[in-house]
Amino acid sequence: MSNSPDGSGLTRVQSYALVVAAAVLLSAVLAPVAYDRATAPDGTVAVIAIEGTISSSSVTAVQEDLREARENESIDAVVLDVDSPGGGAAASEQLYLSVQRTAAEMPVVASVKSSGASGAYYAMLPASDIYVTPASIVGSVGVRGAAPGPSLPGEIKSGPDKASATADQRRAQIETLQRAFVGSVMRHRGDDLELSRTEVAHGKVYTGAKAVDNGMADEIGSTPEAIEQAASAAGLEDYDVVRKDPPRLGGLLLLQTEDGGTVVVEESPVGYEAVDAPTYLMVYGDVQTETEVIGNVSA
Amino acid sequence: MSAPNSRLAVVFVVIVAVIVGGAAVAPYVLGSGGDAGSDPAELENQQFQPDTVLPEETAEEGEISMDSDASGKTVLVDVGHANGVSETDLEPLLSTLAENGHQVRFYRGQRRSLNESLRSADALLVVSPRERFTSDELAGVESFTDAGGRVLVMGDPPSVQASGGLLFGLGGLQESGSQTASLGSTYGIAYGSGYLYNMETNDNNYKSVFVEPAANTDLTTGVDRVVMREAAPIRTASATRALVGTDGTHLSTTRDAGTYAVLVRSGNVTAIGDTEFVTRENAHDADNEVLIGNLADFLVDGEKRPGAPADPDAESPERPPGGGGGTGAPGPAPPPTPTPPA
Repeated sequence: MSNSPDGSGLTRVQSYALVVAAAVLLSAVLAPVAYDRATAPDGTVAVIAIEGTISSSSVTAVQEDLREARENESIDAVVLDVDSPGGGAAASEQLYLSVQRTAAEMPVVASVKSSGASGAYYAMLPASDIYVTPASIVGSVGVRGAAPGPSLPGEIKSGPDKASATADQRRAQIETLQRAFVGSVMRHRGDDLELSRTEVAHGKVYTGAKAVDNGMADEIGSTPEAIEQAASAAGLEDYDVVRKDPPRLGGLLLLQTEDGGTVVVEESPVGYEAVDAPTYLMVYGDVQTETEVIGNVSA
Repeated sequence: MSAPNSRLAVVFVVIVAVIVGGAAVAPYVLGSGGDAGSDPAELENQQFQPDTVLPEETAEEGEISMDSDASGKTVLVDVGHANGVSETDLEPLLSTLAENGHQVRFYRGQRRSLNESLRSADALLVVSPRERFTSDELAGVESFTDAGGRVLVMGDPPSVQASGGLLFGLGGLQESGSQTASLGSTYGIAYGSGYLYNMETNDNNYKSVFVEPAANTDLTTGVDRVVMREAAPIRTASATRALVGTDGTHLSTTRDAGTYAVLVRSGNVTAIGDTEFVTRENAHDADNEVLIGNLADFLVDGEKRPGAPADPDAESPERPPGGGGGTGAPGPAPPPTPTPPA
């Protein structure tokens, strides 16, 4: 820089001062960014919770989290924090496919808190490692379906199989779902399993230590170990952990009755509200497959 | 003045075009940018494909027919012991009997005693009795078979039944089983606990086991294999084991594999460990219709002496000793035995 020939009035010193001031100002803006970049972790491990009964609506939230993990470039690995006895068969399959898609792009490790049974076990099959504690349970590979109820009196149906099915048909449907489930278990864990396909199909649940022993799970450990394993699989030495908790579902539903009263119905955790549809379940433990009328409140 | 304005406009348009165009082209030039938004992974799930998961269904064809040339026999069906079966369930067997000119009557345990009803019957069908047979009835059935009467017992594994309604969690679940122990023990036949299952060879469910002939008997003529929906094993030392589970059949209570009999015959008595194979829904699966026809033949093929059993309860002097009515002498009928309490 030199003195301006057009006589703008800036001396050499003033020009230098202006440049220095501008440089300091710019550096003040850029320095924190540079500092952050220098000290930033290598990446992020997302911990995605799969909790409670797996239903179509709860799956949507988890699927969204998984999709975000895949699309967000800062997320390098996923840990599934599982505490679920399973749920609807179709919902569990949806979840399985989402986890599988995620596992195709980045390391996915599952950690079972207390229960990762049936549909929840299905969902975490694509994970590279399954962490369990000695008291947590996994397994229960199987499908169950409630028998459809009798027709309503006076109901008119358009065909013999509308809203009902013969026992033969239901057996065949359950067998179909079971084959897909067992086939998936054998595909993902067949190399580790000490159990035969038939033994898997028995639908037994295994406690953690037994599961590690027979190959239904991989390691004894809790969620922090699973996070560490996921990070190391993604090649991260220094990492952030973000936790994603889908909202818990369930609750009460109010239905108007014909006489003007209101019936309080407990929302069916896995089926359709207010419709007693025959639902196929991949769930461990006792279930209430129908909506249960728990009270009658007059309007 | 117009020239600088138009130049300014051109500069404006060029700058906008370069920036917007650059933004559009940048992802392709930079390469990786375009992939972030899509899910490129191709998932192949062979385990979900129809040819992998869809099961085969057993053919349902064939008609129930009888070979027997007997006619006009009377088959008494026991429904008086809180039997766990409805007349609709037994319809294929009962219809077959009726179509072939035989009479079907029901013992309901109301006006007449079982022994009284048996006197005019040629065969007795007992399905899943939930109430015990009294000692009088047991003696009556024994003398009935001693006199040539045929008895077919069908039982099933103990089932869990709801009582008192399950709404609000009230009521309870009770396990109820067939009360066939004393009836069977007369003939050296016992129903085992638990149900049979087969994880490998089954009709689309582990409980739907196939059973096949183990002995060449009239009951198994023309039978290749039969589907039983929920079968109890039958234990016997002396009776003929006519149908047994196929390879890989296990017992639920022990999880042991074995050759479990589900159809045995001891003289005039045949016992089956399943009641559902006879319902219309299952009657045409596999060779079930052949077995049902053979069972119908079994019921009417006996040559029972009329009048048996003589009343086993009466301490009448003309009661033949030791035979329990074996001579078949009807004699003057004493007052009928009181029916068991309902």
